[in-house]
Amino acid sequence: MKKISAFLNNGNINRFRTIVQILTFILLMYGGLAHISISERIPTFACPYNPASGGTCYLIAIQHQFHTTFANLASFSGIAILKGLGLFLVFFLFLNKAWCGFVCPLGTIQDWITGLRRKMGFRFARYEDNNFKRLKAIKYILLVLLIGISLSMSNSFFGLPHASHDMSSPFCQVCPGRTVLPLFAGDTSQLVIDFSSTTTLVMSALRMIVTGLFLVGAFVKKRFFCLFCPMSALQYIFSKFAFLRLTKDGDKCTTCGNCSRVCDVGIKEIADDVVSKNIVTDDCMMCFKCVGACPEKDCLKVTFTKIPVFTATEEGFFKRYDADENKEIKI
Amino acid sequence: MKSIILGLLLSVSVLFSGTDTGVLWLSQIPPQERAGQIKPAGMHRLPSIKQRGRGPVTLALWLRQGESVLEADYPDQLGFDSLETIILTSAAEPIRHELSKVAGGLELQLKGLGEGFYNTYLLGKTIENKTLEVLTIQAELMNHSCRNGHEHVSRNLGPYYGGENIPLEIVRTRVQWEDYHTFITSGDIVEYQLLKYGQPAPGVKVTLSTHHGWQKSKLTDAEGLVRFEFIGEYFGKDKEFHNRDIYHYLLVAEFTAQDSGVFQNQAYQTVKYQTTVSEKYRPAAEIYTSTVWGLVTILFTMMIISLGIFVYRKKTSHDYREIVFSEKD
Repeated sequence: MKKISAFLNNGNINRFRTIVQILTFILLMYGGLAHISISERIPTFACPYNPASGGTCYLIAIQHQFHTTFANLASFSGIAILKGLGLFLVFFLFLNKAWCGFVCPLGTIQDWITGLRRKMGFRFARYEDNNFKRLKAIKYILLVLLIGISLSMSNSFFGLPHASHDMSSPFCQVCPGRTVLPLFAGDTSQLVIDFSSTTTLVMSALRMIVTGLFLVGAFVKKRFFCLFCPMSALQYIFSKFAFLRLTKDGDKCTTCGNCSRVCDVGIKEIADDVVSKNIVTDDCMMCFKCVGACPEKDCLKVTFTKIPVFTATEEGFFKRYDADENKEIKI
Repeated sequence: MKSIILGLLLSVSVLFSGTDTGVLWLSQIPPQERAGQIKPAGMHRLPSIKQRGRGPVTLALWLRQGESVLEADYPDQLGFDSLETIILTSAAEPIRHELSKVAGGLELQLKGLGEGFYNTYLLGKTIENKTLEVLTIQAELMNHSCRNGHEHVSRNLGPYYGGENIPLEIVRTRVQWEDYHTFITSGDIVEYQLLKYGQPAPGVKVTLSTHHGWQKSKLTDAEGLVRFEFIGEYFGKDKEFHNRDIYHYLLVAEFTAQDSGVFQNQAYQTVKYQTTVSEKYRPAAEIYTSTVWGLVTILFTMMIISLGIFVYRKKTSHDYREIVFSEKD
């Protein structure tokens, strides 16, 4: 048992993650070719606009389900929403936010763009603390909007007329995943401006702008889009109940800041917070780079149903970073 | 589970008025008198009887006569010696159906339908001048609403066909990537297979009539296949393009075979087979979308943002300066 534990703790989490990302990318992007359809309630961006998709993002389902009247919501539709949410939770609770770090195809693409930037030798960017706090609110606003606009297509708010049906699945209309992911299956049908109505023109133009922003943003800032992702906001609501957890023992933390520096999203609390045990924040994508970069034994821990599966150790830290006392450590 | 429900064999004693007024087909367009009681149901906007709330629906189809989709009549009587209804469905429960006279014409109702496919066939037979006329009136229906999810219908994409139960049948070949959202659009080349009792029927004339009356006839090949290209028929006058407009088309296939036999104690020497099916199509997305504009917008955005980042970095970068502090100071 000790040997297995040492093997896991000394392992290269980044390499493991890359392998998992490639495998899940193939599954979710091309699974449809092998008639694989995992589910339509997947807590990650498996885009149904990709004709070869092996599953479907829960966000499109939730938008469809809320496109109904309040009266219907109080009847069978309400039960259908709860049923859908239940299935989403079954998937989500196992992996928690590691769906973002290990499975999300759009996240994987961002990591590849980051790799390209690194190869090209460009400097990466980080947000200032205040900007970071302001920007992270966008994902909650998007989550409220995607449900609110869907509801407003079948209901009147404050006596206003119903929203146009051209606003159907409002978040998908601006999601860069809808443009980018089908391209990997050779489908360019989403890379368009839709001139059929004013609403479709505005929304499709907005999606193209967001796609441009996504591509440049991901190039200069690691996991640029994750900070604005409404799926991340939805996941965080249920994160505390998940089986997979990232915990911290504040007593063992020296606040060296390694964990914060390797964090792709740029979460500072991971280093500064020495009080909380559950260290998963709404922006965390559970890539576990922080655990790999922590030299303090048992300070950061990944647990599954409270069983440790990956723990910070000094030995693991030095192995991963190929360092000894005389070498400079590059994180 | 697929099940074939054989409908009640009806003896229809009512005859035509005597003149040949064209082919009979099942239409999804209600007669004017019924339009107020009908609403579109699900993704494929099937005509359903208005009801409160959600749940199983009652779909309605109307018999029409004539090759023009827009101008065909709604007859209120049929002239068959026998009429049989067959419903091919994925539903486990038997399908209740009723062909009745309503205001405006003859209406076929399929009652209490959940999600799934419901292929409907009216098989009419008439004998006249030692010729047996066998008419198959088809309708291919997929009842699906995206709100109910897709897992349960993904296995229902078909195509489904009645096989040896159906004298003559037109089956649309599914396209690549076909799913529950697929619509035929203008510009598509669509393939159909003509089957006589489940076997390919070669060399048979098939005629396509589009919504606004354009017609094209072709012969089926050795495998009973025939392909039609759907022409663009958008005639919108508004400033905005109605990309959700739905058009209907009609396919008619017929041929005469030297088959002899006895039907209702009358001998016949030839059999005239005819089948009709009507489905929907939409304007092509290519008409109202532009990839070039999409690419230009993305590239322009990328350029502007990259320029902004470059300028910002230039502005905020400082030259290297060495500051030497002396302890003496």
